[in-house]
Amino acid sequence: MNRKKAEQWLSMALDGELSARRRARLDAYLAAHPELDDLRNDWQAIGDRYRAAMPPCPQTPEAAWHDVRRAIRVQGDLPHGEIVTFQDRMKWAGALAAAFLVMMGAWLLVQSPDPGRVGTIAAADRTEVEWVETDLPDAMSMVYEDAETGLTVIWVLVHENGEEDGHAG
Amino acid sequence: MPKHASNPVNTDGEPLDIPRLVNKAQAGDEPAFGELMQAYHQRVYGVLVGMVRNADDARDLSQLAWIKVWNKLHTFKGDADFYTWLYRVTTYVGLDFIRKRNRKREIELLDEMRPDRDANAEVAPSVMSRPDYAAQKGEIRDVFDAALATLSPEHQTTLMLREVEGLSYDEIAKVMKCRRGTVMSRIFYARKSMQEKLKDLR
Repeated sequence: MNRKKAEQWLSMALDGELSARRRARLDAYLAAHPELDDLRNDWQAIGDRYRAAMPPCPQTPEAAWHDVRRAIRVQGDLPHGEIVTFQDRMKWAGALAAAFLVMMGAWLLVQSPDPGRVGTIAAADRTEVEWVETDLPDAMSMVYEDAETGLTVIWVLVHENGEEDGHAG
Repeated sequence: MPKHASNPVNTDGEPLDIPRLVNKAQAGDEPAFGELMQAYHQRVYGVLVGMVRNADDARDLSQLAWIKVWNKLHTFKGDADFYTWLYRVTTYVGLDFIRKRNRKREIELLDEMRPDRDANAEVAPSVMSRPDYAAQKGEIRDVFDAALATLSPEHQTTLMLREVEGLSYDEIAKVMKCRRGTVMSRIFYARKSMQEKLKDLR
């Protein structure tokens, strides 16, 4: 047996993972090589230090369960069983705001090329947009009166598969 | 002596019927899951604090681990001991955290090595975590933690499962999904490496 093999077997012997036959061979080697005693002592000290350095749990099991139960109940109330973070909520609000700005920008662009329509644009500036409640899930709607046509436009914003889509009626 | 993963007991000292509690929890029984959690709470925390070496991080990760256990409990088939499966989920949470933390430290280290960096700038955490720096401070706990931090997350976790949790090589192999020989090799390497770094503490 060479030194490296003896060290590997010593490590296994410390863990009680060495067979009786190999243990006997290792003991014979250790008897002839007492310098390995330092190695054994060092390795045992590492285990002792590791266990001694373990801080006690700062939370009682009851308090920890209280926190976990609250977390799993919150996620249980969600449609896909996922944890909703502040960022998730902001994504939705941000997407809605972006869609609104794009829609308003596009509408103003359509109105602006004709200088003769300045009066119409001025009228558009005065257009009142009203957000209204809807019973549709994951949807928001707004109502305004189109200055050019005089029609009442109802926009419904729905949230489908993570993307927004707008429908006018 | 290390702890051994024996069956937990209730407040009256009677052994808990773990398979029954697991079955009920899999059916969505919250109180049963609560009993399981309270029975294994200390062990899960112990595994995580042994891995990440920070009480606050371990507490947060412990909560995250239990939420994952609740979400994944339906995948537990009962073909292994529940604690083996629980340790597996827990060690994955810990390993994921350590890998992310190590990547952050590597970035900080690269930042320290930038030629335009102020030489008088404050010593960064990555330097403070080195054994030689900790040895200068003369705190044994810091030296030990710094030596542990030089091991790979896998070596560190394997050593902790053996020395602190008292798992056998076969049990560690199941938790970490590797071969028994790999467990033996990792523990041997980890001990040699730790011994080398801690030789000044004798």
